[in-house]
Amino acid sequence: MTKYISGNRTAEDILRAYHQKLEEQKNKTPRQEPRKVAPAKINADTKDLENYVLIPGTDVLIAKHQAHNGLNWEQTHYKLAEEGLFMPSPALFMAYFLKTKEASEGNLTLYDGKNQQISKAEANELWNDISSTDRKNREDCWIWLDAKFVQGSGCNNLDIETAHSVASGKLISKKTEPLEACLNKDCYANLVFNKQGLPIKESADTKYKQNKNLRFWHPREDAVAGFVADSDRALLGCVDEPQYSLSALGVRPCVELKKKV
Amino acid sequence: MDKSEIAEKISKISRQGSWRNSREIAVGNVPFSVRDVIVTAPLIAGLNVYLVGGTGEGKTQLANDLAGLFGDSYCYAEGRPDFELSELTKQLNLNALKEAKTDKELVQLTENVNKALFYVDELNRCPPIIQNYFFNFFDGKLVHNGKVFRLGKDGYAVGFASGNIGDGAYVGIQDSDRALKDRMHLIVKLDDPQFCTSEEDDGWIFESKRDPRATTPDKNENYLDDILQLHKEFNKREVPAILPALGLYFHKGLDYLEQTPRHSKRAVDTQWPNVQGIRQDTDESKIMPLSKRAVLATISLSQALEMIAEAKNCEVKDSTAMFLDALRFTVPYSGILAPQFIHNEKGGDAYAAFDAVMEHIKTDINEKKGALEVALAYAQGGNKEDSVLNEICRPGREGKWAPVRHYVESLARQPAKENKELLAKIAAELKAPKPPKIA
Repeated sequence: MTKYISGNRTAEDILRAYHQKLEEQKNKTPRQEPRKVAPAKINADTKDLENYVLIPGTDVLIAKHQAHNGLNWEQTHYKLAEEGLFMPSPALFMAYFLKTKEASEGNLTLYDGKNQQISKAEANELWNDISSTDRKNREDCWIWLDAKFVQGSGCNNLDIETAHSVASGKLISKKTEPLEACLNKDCYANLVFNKQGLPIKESADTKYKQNKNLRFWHPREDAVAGFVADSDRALLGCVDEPQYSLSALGVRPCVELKKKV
Repeated sequence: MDKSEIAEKISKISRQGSWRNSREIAVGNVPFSVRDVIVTAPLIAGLNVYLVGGTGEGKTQLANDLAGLFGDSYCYAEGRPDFELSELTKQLNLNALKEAKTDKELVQLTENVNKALFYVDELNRCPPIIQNYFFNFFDGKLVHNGKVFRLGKDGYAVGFASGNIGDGAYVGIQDSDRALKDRMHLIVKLDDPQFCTSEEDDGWIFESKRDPRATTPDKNENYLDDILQLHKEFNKREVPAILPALGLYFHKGLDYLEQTPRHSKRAVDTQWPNVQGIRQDTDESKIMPLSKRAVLATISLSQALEMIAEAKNCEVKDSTAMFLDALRFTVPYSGILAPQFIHNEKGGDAYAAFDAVMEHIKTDINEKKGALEVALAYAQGGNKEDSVLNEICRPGREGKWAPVRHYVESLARQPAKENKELLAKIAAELKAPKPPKIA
């Protein structure tokens, strides 16, 4: 068996570097303390509402920061259900993605959960949180999205299950529909999405360009969706195993605005 | 041989000679001259090189330059449609073959044929039977009466040839494309802008002489022993573990078709890419899998380039990048790119077609590279680390990466004892947590 794995690096070099990276990830001090997730019953007096953003064109607030790291996809749903919150679908999250981009460009004003305007500077921060590759002072964004791809009649013989909730202690999908036409390959995609929040047009670029494209891993049967923004790229992936968990992987909790009252 | 001796020998044979091409090209993020890539590295690795393209790029001059490097161990032939086998045997002093009565005599004869380098100009103009003889010579063998006899010097033989890749555009071309593409390891279009001589080279050539004819070989520069010693050193090198894994991706993974009944390009054979269900929006319809020979040639080329880089004190940490860039010299004219893609979508530019296909393949590979390196490192210690392997390919899933996963798993089942002990020690030292997902 050969001594080297790649170039002049041995198995020992690679494993040491790998474990060092794991340690660094474990010991990494967050830029700021993880924000406390809004309580189940949200009302106008809840101070945490400033930590939510109203997704323009919807009645949904989405947390500015991720929470509940370390849980798998199903556990995350249960945890959110306990709190009266829910996991954003790709459609919802990509709407947030596009609107935040618009706001960072000064073409739209975002509002927080207290109906306060979000400054352009903060909008820019929010946008960079989910799209920038400069992660020196920024935690990576690794979040679950509410979509499961199952065998069906849609694009590539798949259906998409969304709107998961917990009923009688069981996780069920309230909405199953055929997967709409979307890119059916792993590629960089333009920021144009179908109604289900999945990209429909391949990017001419084959490298990540913030504001221009994102990496896309097309839906696979029995996989669930997730979103990543790290030092390499922003990535919408539809390939994750629901049982998978990781200390850096969490969720951006959402709540419907009508519950405010 | 120590590092400085290797560096000195490489420096000798990579020195720009009467054939100059110092145009810089990056392979694996390391700068090389074109001469390094198409002359020095193939000589070190023993790879055959086929130079295609128009006239006037110095192919004859290169032949003379190589003759200088090899001295008397050099055989030159000019391809013609009326080339006779007797000419060949005469040049190699093989006329006695006819008189040889026993195999023993034949062996003695061929042992005397110690030509190490064969250069054939306009190879594709030779009749197929002569081409076959040449191909065998390039590979260091003579096939006679169904028996194989070794040629070359100390087991070393290498072939350079020039000519045209067919399409019938050139009068006198034999139907040699398939054989050529299969038997030559590197195929380089020498007049392509990325490989042609630099302005500095051209200036030097124009300044130094007024005679447009190629200069004759300089027999004083005989570096055969240096080449043979470098080749021995090359053969001692260990191939980094990631390269066979990448070889699997290109040899078996690229065979995968998502939506056809048997999921295989090789299964549809000559019908590819005009098959129902084949995807037009991915590389499925654009590239066939590499042959084993092409994978081995690319691994050898990238390893010879690593050796040259080390001689220049360039540290190579990433064999993947070197391998992927080395494909540029083995793939574009190897016949595995779909002709209609090259002609209809890329205006007949094989390199543009190659670049378009490789952009996606490189992205795919670079996304998995980190996980693959870690999985291989674990496998060397006998550890099948599923969470890392899942990043390469989910268990039970088909696709381009499935053969790679199977390969890594097979490595984990047969670790070398010393690796197992070493990696167990490291794992204990690091108190390894369960590996997480590798982005």
